[in-house]
Amino acid sequence: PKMLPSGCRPLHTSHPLSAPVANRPLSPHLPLKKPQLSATFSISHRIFGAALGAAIISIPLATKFSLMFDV
Amino acid sequence: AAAASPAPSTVKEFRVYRWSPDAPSRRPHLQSYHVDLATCGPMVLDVLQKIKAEHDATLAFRRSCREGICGSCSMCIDGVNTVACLRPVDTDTSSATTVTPLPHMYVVRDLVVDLTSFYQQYKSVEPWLKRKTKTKTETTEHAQSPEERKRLDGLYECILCACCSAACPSYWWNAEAFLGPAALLHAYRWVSDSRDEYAAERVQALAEGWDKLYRCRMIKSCTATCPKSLDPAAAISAMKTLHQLGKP
Repeated sequence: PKMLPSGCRPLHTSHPLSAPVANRPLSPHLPLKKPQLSATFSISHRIFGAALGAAIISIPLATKFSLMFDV
Repeated sequence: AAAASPAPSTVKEFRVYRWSPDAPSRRPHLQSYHVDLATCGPMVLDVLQKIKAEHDATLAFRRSCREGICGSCSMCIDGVNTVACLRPVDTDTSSATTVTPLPHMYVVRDLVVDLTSFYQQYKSVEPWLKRKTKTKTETTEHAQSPEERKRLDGLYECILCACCSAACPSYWWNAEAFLGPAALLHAYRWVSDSRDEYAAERVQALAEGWDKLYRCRMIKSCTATCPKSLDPAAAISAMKTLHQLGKP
């Protein structure tokens, strides 16, 4: 009987392998990870980068739509 | 009368990840084993071998040299990827030690994971000496000065245990595209070898398509977890610099 294991290949990889070998489960990963300074810097760098990008792009949009909605 | 101060117990609980392809409907689970540390060797690998010998012969794990040279017994012990033979048992018997396979890998059975793709990536960096100039002394050795040999220290010691690659979140999400710290460390070992004459081509090939090299986001979990205390993050960073400056 074909059944998907707890972590299934299509969800967890960038390119699914052409022929999966077997119905193998994915070993536990994120919940095990210990807090680590360099990893926290890496992810916070990305989060703040995205937030800053959103803030910058919203300035011209806000200017444009503030006239439209008369605020 | 109850004993006023009972002697601290030497029996420690070990929670070991279990999954068998023979019973695929059974979800992966942690199984507890109570091992007496007083009659056991000091390392986690000794504990696993004691469990296999005395408690449960169905437990599967890889091991070979028991001295940190073969890289077979790599697994995740209490959330840190390391080789079990180099990891001393935490002697605090009040808390359990959790042993799981290398993170975000496909489990073949229990603590054995599928490393096929990992070895393919290692193979793809062409980890062998490549020469352009064919000398007539081809049958003799290629001489190297002590300074040139020193550049390989901290690179050639890698035993390909896959602890670093399995610790890298970037490798977790892009295991097929990103080469991973272990393969890139070996690529840099050949880029920095004075006898190899394809350094520029090697860096160019890695930078091709962006994914193989530049998926590294300097999370540095590889360096933090390496059981041989190597620095794959520095090697990847050095190769990025070589590519950006265009002068390997």
